[in-house]
Amino acid sequence: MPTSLDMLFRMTPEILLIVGAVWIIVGNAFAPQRAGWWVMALATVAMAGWALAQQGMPVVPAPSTGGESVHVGSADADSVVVAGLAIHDELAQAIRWFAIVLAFLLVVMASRAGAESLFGEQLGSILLILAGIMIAASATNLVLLFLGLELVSIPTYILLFLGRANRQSLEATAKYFLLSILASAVMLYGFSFLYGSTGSMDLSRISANVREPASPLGAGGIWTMGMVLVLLGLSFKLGSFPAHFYAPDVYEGTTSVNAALLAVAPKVAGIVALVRLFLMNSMEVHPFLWHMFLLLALATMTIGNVCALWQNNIRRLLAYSSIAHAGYMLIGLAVALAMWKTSTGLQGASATLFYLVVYAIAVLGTFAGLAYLASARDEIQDVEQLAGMGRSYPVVAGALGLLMFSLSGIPPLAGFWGKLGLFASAVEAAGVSAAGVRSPWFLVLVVGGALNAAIAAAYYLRIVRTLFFRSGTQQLAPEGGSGARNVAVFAALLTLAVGILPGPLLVATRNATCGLNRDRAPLMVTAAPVSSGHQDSIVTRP
Amino acid sequence: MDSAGLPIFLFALIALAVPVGMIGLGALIGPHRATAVKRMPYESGMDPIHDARRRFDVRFHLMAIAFLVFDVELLFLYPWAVASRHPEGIDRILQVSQGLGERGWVLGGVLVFLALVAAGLVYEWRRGVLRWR
Repeated sequence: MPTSLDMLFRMTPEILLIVGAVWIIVGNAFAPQRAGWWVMALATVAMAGWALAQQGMPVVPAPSTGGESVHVGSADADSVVVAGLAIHDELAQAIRWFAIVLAFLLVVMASRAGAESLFGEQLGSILLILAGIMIAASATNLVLLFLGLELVSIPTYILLFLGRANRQSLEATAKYFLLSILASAVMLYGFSFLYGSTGSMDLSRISANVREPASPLGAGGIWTMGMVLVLLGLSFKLGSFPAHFYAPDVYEGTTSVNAALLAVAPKVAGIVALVRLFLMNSMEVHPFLWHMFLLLALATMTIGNVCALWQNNIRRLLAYSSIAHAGYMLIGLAVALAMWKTSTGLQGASATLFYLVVYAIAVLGTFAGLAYLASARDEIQDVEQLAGMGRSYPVVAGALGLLMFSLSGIPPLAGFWGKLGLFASAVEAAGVSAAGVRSPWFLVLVVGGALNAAIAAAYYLRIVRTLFFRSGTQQLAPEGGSGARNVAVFAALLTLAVGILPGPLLVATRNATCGLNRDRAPLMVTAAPVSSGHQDSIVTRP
Repeated sequence: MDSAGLPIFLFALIALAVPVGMIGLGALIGPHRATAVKRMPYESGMDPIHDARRRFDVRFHLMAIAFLVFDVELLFLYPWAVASRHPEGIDRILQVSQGLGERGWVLGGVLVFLALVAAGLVYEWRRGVLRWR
C-alpha cells in the first residue's frame, strides 16, 4: 500500500522541475541575466534526473535471454508502483527519462533565445513543459492527465509570445492559443462523456466498466462519442490530420527554438496520452478504433508529405514534415489497437515509441541547427538561404544533412530503423489472424507509408542539395549561440549511433511497452474503497 | 447569550468596526485635496457615462487578470476549507487510500498552493503589473 510519502518521493523529479522553474521565473525578474539562470536551469534538470535515477531504471536493456520473442506479460507486477492518481510503470519511467533528456537538450539549445530580460520566462516555460510531459506520462486519472497536458500547453503560449517581436510572431501566438484552447475544450468534453458512461475518472476503472458486456452504457454511443472527441483533441497535440492545419502558420511565425519545442513536446505528450487512453483503456470491444487510427494515419501522412513538397519557407516545410511523421506514428498505434494482446500489437506500440524518440531527436537537432544559423535580426526563412552553408559552416551543415537523411529514412541512420519497425509491424498485422482482425487494409497502409516515404525523400533531399550543391548568394552571420550548434551536432551523432547500433534503443522501447499487456484489474484496488461507500454520507440527506 | 452565538456576534462587531473605522479615520486625518479626477464617480479615471464604443485602457486588463487569479484562489479555498474539516472529506479519502491517520497532508497541500500563488504575486509586483503607469 503506497503512502503519501512514497507518492511524494515518486513525484520528486516533477516537483524539482516545477520548483526550479518558479524560482527561475521569479528570480529573473529580480536579477535579469543569462548565464546564471541558464546554469541554474541545467542544474535543475540534472537534479530531476538524479531524483529519477533514485527510483530505479525499468528501461535498462534486459539480458538477451529470449532472443527475438516478445515476453508477453513477463514483467512482474511488483515493479509497478501506483501512487494515488499516478502509476510509474515501465512506460511512464521510459517517457520520464526521455523528458529529462529533452529538457537538457532544449535548455542547452535555448542558451541565447529571446530577450535577456525575459530569459527566465523562456527557461522556466521549458522546464514546466517537460514537467507536464512527465506528469502526463504517469497519469492514470483523467484529471491528472488533463493537468499534465495543460502544463504542456499553457507555457507554450508564453514561449510563443517570447519569440521575436513582430507581427508574424503575434499572429502565430494568437492562432496557437485559440486553437489549443479549442482542442482542450473538445478533449474535456470527451472526458465528460467517458466519465458519464463509466462513472469513474480512473483509467483502469473506466476500462473495467466498459469491458463488462452487461453494462448498458458500455460500448454504446456515449463512450464512443467520448473516445472520438478525445482523439480529436489529442490530434491537435499530435498535429495529425483533423487538427493539423495550425502547424505551418505557427511554426513559420515563431523562432526555430520554439518551433523545436512545438514539434517535440506536444507530440510526446500526445502519443503517451493516446497510449494510456486507447491502448490501456478498453480494447476488445471496439474494432472501430483501429479503423479510425488507420484512416487517420493514411490521411495525415499523405497531407503532410504532399503539402511539404511545394514549401519554400524552411519552417513551414518542417511543419508539414512533422505532420507527416505524426502519421507514421499512428501506423504503429493502429497495429497495436487491432492486434491487442498479441506480440504483433506490442511490436506496433514499441515501434511507435522508437519512432517517437528517433523523430524527436532528429527534429530537435534540425531546428537547433537552424537556430544556430539565424542572425540576430531574423530567423532563416527560405530554404534558399541555406545555399552554400556546406562550404561556410561544414560542421552544422553536415549535421543538418545527416538529420535530413535520417528523417527521410535512409538506411544507415536511426530514421530507417524507425520506419522499418513500423512497416514491419503493419505487414505482420496484415498477415496474422491471431486476434481475428486479419485485414488487407494494413497492406494498403504499408504501401501508402512506403509511397509517402518516397515523396518525403524529395523535399528532404532538396534541403541537402541546397546546403551542399548551391553556391551561396548572401552571407549569413550565425548568431544562435554555441549551445544550439552543439545540440545539432549531438543530435546528428546520436542519430548516427542509433542507426549503426539500434539494439539498445529497440530493447528499451520494447521494455517500455511490455507493461501494456499486463492485466489492469489488480491496480483498481487503490482507489476503490473511497468512492464506493462514502458518497451518500457526504451529501446530507433530509 | 448562548456561547454558540458569541463568535458570530464578535464577527459582526469586527465586520462593522473595520469599515466604519477605516472611513472615519480617513475622513478625520486624511488630506483633502479634491481634484477633478478625484471627484469623478470612479477614481480609476473612467467616465461612467460615455459612448459604448470608447476604447478601454489596456491596463485595466492586467488588473482584471491579477484580480482573477486571486478570485480563483479564493474559490479553491472554499471547498478545501469545507472538505478538510468534514469527517468524510479529503482527510477521509487520504486516510483510506494511503493508510494515513494524519491531517498534515491536507494543510501541506493547500500551503503549497498558496505559496505558488504568492510567488505569482511577487513576480507580478516585480514586473510592475501593480504599478499604474
